[in-house]
Amino acid sequence: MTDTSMTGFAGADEQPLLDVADLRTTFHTAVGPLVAVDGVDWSLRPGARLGVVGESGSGKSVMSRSIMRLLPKSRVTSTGSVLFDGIDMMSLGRRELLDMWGPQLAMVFQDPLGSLNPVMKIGKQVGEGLRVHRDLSARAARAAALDLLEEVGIPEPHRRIDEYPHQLSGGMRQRIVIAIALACSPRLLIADEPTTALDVTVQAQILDLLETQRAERDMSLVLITHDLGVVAGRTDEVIVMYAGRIVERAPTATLFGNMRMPYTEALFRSIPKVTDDSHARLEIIGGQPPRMTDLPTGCKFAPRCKYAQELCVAEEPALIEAPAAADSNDGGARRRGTWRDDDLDDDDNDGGAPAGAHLYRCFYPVGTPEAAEAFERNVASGRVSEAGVVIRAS
Amino acid sequence: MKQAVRDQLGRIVGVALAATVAWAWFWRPPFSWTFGVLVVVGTAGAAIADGRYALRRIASVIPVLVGVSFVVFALMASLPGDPAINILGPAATADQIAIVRTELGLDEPFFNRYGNWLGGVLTGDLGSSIVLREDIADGISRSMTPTLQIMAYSVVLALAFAIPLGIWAGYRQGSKTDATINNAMLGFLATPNFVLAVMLVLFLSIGGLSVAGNEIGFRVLPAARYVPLGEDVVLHFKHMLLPSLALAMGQAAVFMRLLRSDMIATLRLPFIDLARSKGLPTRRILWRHALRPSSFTLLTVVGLTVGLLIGGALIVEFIFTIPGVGAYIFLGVTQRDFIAVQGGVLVISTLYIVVLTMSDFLYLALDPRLRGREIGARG
Repeated sequence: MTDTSMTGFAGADEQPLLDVADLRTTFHTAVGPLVAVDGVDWSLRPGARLGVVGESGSGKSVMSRSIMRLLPKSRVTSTGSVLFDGIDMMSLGRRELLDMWGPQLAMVFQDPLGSLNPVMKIGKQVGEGLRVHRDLSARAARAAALDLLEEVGIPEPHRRIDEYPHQLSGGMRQRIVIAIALACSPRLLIADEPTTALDVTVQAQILDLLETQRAERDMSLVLITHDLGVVAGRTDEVIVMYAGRIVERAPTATLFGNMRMPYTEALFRSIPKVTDDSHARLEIIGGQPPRMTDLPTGCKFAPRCKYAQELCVAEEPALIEAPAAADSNDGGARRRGTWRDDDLDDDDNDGGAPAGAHLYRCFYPVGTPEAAEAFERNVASGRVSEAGVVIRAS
Repeated sequence: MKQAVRDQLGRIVGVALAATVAWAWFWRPPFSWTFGVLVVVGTAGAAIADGRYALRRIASVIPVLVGVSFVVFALMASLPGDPAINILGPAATADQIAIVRTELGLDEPFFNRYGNWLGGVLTGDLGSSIVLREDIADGISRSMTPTLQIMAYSVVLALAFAIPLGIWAGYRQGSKTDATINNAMLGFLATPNFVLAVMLVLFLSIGGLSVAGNEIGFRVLPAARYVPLGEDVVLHFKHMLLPSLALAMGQAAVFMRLLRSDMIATLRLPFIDLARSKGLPTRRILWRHALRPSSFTLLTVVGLTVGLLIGGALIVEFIFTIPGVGAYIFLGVTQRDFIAVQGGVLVISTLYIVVLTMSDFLYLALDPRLRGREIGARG
């Protein structure tokens, strides 16, 4: 882990495969603009694995579709820059995008039954991309599809190739969706909650399949999930999103070893652990994600946060960088003071945040004495229970 | 042992009966069409679904047909008026009437008459017309030909308009194109087909309106008369174009609106997102991915429309003076020619049922999820 965890982000001398800067996606709804993704910055080195974690509605799916430019044209606007291997995705026309989708970027979707055409044979669906992008004949596409089915671990591919999606199990269907995505050997695969709709027993198999295929093809992978447990050990870097913003970003090992954002901590505590008693009650994150049309002024997580103070409600914390020796908790107050002035949001974030940086968005980061004090104050005022459950929204 | 023999016997009798019917029907036009369609449908059904299902589905049509024949016969028998008086005229004596009634078999009990008629039908004999003094099977097949032709041409025309327009309007939902297509089609939907027929005749075949000595219109297509396909192919289609068009536009409006709304629903499904993320051109996504799963409702309604048109589009046929089956039955009703009416209604309802069976098999062809599972009769 220690070594591989450092390979996930673009080094200063290496050209990133994907560079997302200040990406902002707005839905123009009847009740006003809804900013689903609000100024997101990150980059991905060729062959690297990025995890994107957040609850439903945190903007992670919209972000991936904005990067792909798969969102509808009407009533949605995306601004900022998305550079794929130096190509500005935002400036591409329809035709050029069609050439990108498949051979360059591909996507695996959440619902494997819904993502497959119910009235088209599996072999056709797998080979179709090749027919369009590589001008393969029907016969050649079928042969290629057969190979792909074998690669993604479909038993009896000769029989399965002529079956329809409804004849397969959920895990098999997701393997087919992966085969479709892999068909034109994309350089970046975005997997949007690839295991959410699957049985727990199948989830690990699908994730392993994604990993082996990624490694074999030297592909980059963006793994989107609501489950921190999924990205642990399977990604190089993790982004935690809340209300359309990045609230924490760190190399995977750093994140799990030293999470700073209270939201990340809350997500982490809601994962069942093997060491728990079999009937132990899971910790939940109380309340609801904020309504995107009616966001709070300060920190978007403040209403549900057990550390939240008046400052958190009044002012939104900037995405700031943790010092290299983040493990030591001394001098937190001093650091906080300086970081708040240094608003990274206004700078070029990629320039500001070096490779492997640990960024977070909080005034009272987890594990600091300030956070402990804040928590005690909240318990004393009755806003938060001893066990850390938020009783009143702040 | 005994059970086995009984099974064999049933099978032998069944095959013999089917062979008789098949042989009798094979040569007679209205029956041979029905028969041919059933064979085609059955073969197709057996190829798509499993053969046993196709056979069962076709076999299930038989009791329906027997029921239909009984209802048709009972209805005709309960009509007021005596065909014998109709033949002989009002001056006929009671003795003369009695003789004709015996000749026609009208004296016999109801079920005997029904049995006689059904036996004739099974061996390809619908009887002969009291009024026209001609074989009814011949009469029906003669008048059925133009009706079936108009039906086929108008449905094909309607689909040729409706499918591309429905796909495009659904894809561009809410756009100006969508609104334009919708409004134009709404106009056709609101125009009765006979009004459209008259307008088409007025503007395309008899020169249109005359304003200050100038004609606003054309004289490019013939207005009336039926030319059989075998006589002159070009002339046949020239004569069929206007009546087919008059019937097609209203249908096209219905088909297009159905397809449009199903397309809109389909285009929101996740597999369309996946197809897009594969980098497929829009045209391919619309025609290859979205059309088929969007066409189930359309298929139901096309099946019903075809079924309705088998009965003839009486008014349009009348405007274009086409001797269709509607006109044949209308004549039979006004002349109290009950045997002709009986035969005509029987052939029409048989074809209707065959068409609905065919659309059931088409569901199987369109939607693999239904195969190997029972589907109920639809529509």
